[in-house]
Amino acid sequence: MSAASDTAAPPAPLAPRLRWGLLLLGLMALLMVLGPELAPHDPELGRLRDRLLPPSLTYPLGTDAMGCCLLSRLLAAFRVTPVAALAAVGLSAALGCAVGLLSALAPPLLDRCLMRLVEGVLALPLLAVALVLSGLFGLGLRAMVIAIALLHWADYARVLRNLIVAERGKLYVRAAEALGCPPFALLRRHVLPALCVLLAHSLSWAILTFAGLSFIGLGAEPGTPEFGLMIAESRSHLRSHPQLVLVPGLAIMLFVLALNLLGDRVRDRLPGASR
Amino acid sequence: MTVFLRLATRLGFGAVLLVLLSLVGFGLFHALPGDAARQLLSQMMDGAPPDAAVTDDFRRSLGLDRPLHEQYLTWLGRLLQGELGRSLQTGNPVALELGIRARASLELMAASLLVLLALSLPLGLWAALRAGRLPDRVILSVSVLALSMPNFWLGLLLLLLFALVLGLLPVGGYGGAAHLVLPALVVGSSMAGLTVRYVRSWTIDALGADHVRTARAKGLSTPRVLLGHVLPGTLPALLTLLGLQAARMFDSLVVVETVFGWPGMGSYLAGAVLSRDLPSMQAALLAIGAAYIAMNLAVDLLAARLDPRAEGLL
Repeated sequence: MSAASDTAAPPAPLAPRLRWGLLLLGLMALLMVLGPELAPHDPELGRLRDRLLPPSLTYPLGTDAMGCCLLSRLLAAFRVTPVAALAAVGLSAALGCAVGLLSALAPPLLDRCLMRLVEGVLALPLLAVALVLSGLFGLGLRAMVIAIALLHWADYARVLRNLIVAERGKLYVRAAEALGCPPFALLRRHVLPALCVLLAHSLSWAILTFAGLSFIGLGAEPGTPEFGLMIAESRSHLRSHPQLVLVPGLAIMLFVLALNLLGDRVRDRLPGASR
Repeated sequence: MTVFLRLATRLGFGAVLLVLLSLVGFGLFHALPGDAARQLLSQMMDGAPPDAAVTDDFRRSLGLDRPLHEQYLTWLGRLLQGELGRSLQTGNPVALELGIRARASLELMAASLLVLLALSLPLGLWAALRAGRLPDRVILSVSVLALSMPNFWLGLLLLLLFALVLGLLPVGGYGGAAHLVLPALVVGSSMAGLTVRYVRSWTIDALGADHVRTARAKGLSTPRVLLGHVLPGTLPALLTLLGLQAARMFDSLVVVETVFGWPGMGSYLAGAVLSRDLPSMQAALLAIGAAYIAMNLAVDLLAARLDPRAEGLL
């Protein structure tokens, strides 16, 4: 049985973007799981004798200004920002989807009230409000995750509710319902792909945001192996040891690139997508 | 008539949002765990516990001993007169500091929008004209890279190249046009990734439209077709997109302003949160929120004005 969207557009072969995206994302997920086990040294242990060493056999990427092994810190960092981003997006998506589903199925009055609330939250500058909230919660990555989830859920609620309401009235959905297709399968086939695009893009946004906030001191605690923080701590050695800034930045970029490539590819395959 | 009604609804919604925002801002004082007056005093005294008589005096001087709704109204009244209190850090009136910061941020935003347009319009048009071929592929790939790059990292790399190695531009701070180049380049190019794609896809759609085919059949040159027949059609959508990007630009300002030491609203808010300077946090949040709400409203109105079809969406 072929998917409904295949009749609208000829099925494209697994395009390079999807393949690269999946490959990269798989690699990143692997690093998230195995990273810290692969680290040759303790990421938080600085040896002052070994400060700012060039790459060698003992320290494959050299050491930073505190004498910590750069590779070990980098591998450990795969469990900090990406996990925080996953937590923020996961919380937002869970809350938002619950509200969106409720709104789509609820009587019109409740639907309208919920959507006004969603519009209100979306009309606020997300980062500014999240920063202030995280300041109230006591700063740090955890406070930031909660602050962002408290605002970002509205995006999911709106998208899910509008998708369900738009799809429910369409002829093919009614036909599918008449044929006995269970509602869950309908959701999976017609709503899930669009949700995946939103997930990929908001994950990539969250990773960039958390790294940026850590860089300016509003994210991870000082000393944590975190991409943005590592860059901030090596900033004064930018000219003499550019690799200390280059390598963590490239790691963030690869992660976000994988998510963006995947998200774009899924979006292009959505029915009604333009180029 | 209905247009005016819709407009009134939108303005009303904006006003409600502003009131909600002011409640959030007001709530900041009371959301502190424990006694607000005690907290503020001990913050001002670097953590030393203040004694009871002083705390009582301080509480009375801030009006924190009166009922909440009364406090809110007094606070709102002062806010409407532009009295935002004094920064705990510098002791200057917050309104004064905000004024200077807002100007610097607006300059940076304007310059970033210019960079954004200068990058995305030509590249988007070029990619559309060569759709599917090498220039198109290269431009699309670079746009994904630009979207995936952490902007503070790009900022540092540009600093390394232009300020430290070549010595052409200042390392940071506020000053003439030379100080503006790098931050504007970073903010503009990180947003250009998305705009290029939209310009490209609108242009491809327009190139297939009947009126453009007619213009080409008349024998008009490609630049004239693009400028006279393709671009005007995409203008409403483009302006809406730019408005939304300008509103969202604040997200990048927080980080980029801090990287380059640009004294704008973003670095102000970040600094206020970092040092727990409540009056500054409150005022910055209100100012940014009001600007954001106003900007979004302006975008909607502009879109409806330029494209009658969008009026129903107002």
